[in-house]
Amino acid sequence: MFGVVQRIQHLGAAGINFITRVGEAGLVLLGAIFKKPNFHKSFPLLIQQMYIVGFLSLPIIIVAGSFIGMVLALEGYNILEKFAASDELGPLVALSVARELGPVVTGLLFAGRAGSSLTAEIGLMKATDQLSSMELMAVDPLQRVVAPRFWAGFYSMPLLAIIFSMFAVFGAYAVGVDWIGLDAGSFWSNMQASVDFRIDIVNGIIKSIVFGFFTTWIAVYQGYACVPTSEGISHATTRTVVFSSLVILGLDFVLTAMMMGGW
Amino acid sequence: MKNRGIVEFWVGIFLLLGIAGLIFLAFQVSGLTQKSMSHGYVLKADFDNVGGLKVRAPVQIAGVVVGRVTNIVLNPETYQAEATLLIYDNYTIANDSSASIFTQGLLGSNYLGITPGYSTTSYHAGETIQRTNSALILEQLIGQFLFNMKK
Amino acid sequence: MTSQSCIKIQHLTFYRGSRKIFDDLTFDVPRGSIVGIMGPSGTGKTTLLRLISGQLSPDQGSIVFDDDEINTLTRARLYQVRKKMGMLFQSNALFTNLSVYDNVAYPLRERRDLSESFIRDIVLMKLQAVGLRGARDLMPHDLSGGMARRVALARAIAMDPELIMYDEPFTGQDPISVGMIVKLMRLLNKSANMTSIIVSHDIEITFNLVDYVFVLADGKIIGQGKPEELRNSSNEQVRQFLNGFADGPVPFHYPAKDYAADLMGEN
Repeated sequence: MFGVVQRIQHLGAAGINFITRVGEAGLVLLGAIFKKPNFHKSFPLLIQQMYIVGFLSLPIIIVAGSFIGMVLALEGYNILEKFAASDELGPLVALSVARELGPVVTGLLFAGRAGSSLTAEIGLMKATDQLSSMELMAVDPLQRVVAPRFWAGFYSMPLLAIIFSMFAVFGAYAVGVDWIGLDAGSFWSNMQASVDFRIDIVNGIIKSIVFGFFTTWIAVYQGYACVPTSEGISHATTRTVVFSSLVILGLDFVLTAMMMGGW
Repeated sequence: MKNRGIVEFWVGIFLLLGIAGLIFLAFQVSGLTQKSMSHGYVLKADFDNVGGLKVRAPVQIAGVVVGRVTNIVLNPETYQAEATLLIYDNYTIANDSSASIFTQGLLGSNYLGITPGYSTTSYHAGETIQRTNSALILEQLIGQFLFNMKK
Repeated sequence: MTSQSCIKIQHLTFYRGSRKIFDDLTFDVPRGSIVGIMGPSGTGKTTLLRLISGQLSPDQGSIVFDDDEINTLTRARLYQVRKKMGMLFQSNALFTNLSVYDNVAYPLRERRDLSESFIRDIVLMKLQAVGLRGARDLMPHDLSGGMARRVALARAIAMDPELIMYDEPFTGQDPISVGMIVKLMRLLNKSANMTSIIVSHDIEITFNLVDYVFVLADGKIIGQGKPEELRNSSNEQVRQFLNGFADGPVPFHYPAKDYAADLMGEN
């Protein structure tokens, strides 16, 4: 009898704890982005973070994009061929990637690579008192450390998703046209006829912007609020990857539903 | 501070690659062309049955896309479907043309085809196409076929 | 008119969760003095430094630094006041992505009115004072523990603060590094007249260095005075701490059941 009551108590406490942490995360975000920025100082920091978070993620994004495009083309051709519809391979790959796989897979890879490294870096700075010493030097760590990393992630994600989609289409072309031997002309023209810029491409970009916002927010918050021990950092890093992935997949469903309802 | 020049260079490459990707997706993948970005004028057409015609379906003359369907609503008084079309500016439609709903291929989606007339006056913006043919509904066809068979 | 005390702490009470860390603590740190704050592990000595610098807020009581009551300041004013304080962390807290030069220059660059060449002069002077002018282009991970500590010290004094706080500066250092740090601490206090607060549990080194000692335990001051006075103290807790007795007011055995009963219970 008591076991059930205790479990409910634990659930309630966990729920309250979760809501408190979300509120904390919100305050951290507000503190980081809604202050008057010192352009002279923050711009170079932003550029440096965009290099680390964005540019250095390119290898994995390009490779992943290419391979996913190639695999989609292979599997897709396998099935379409049965319906004598192999001409639709172009649209199949382009639509799948631009609308779904581009933003989602890029988001997951980004969370794993850039998100976890952001969390670990900020967490380590907290554990070694670097954030404290900044505060003592009258430097706001939210502005100086958190904000550039947040903006870098926010701007990089859509770019990475676009590049992912581009390379996926290249990969599909390489497999479909160069290897299997489909007609290049109909590959492109069918694709162009089926893919609408506003509904498909732009919606995909909107998704990646939303994913970028949440993934980067989760990553910097987990680092900033972690327990400053090595165990704490490791937990925070895991949490970043897990939460980001769940949020991406959940939001993907919500956004797709909204977009299908005639966005 | 690390050599800032190099970092900025690579970030620039990153941004350019992203923009190139966007251009590629816009033009090579989704076929965004000058035409689709140009403006058009609005025409209306009423149908007894629009079948599977959807918003954003193409409007074609002789197989060439000349516009898009922008809206389909039910007229509460006549109980007809009122389709609103956006015709691109460089095309004119004679005012004795007829609009019909066709299917692309055997199993494709519906589109709106306009068979041009011979009149020298064209429709102006906001006018309604007078001659329309509704979509072919499979059940009605089968019904007619069976009816004719019986005869 | 500047007051005699650099830091005045009045009736400070601070809780962490439900644990009372400080209980009605009151003491003064005279300007220009060098004092030690000592005590067993876990008495919250580091917490005290964080309270003084305003990173934590007391539950009751006040902390006055140089006529400014720290706990009532606005964020902007707090940042201003902090420019007069320097702190040497136990972990050095050097920025790992910046060179030694850039680390020391960091607080100076925050002031927008200093030219780069002026900053260069100051950085070189501070590095010279700690003996590491030649190491200016090294990165933190290239430095030995003692060198890193000296760089952190150079950074802490870059803005010529009035007060400098040291959090366990001798822990884990070899005797030579300790000697170097002690020499620098004396120099800063006597020549630059910096009020210095040293948090440590190394008795020998601290007693040789400071003018005055405060011994903390259970959130209260259990002993204070000049080092020689404390050596002769009759207070039991002070004597256990100073002599390193394994058992005394701080017991050896963590509270537990009767030994015989516990062993028997296993059967």
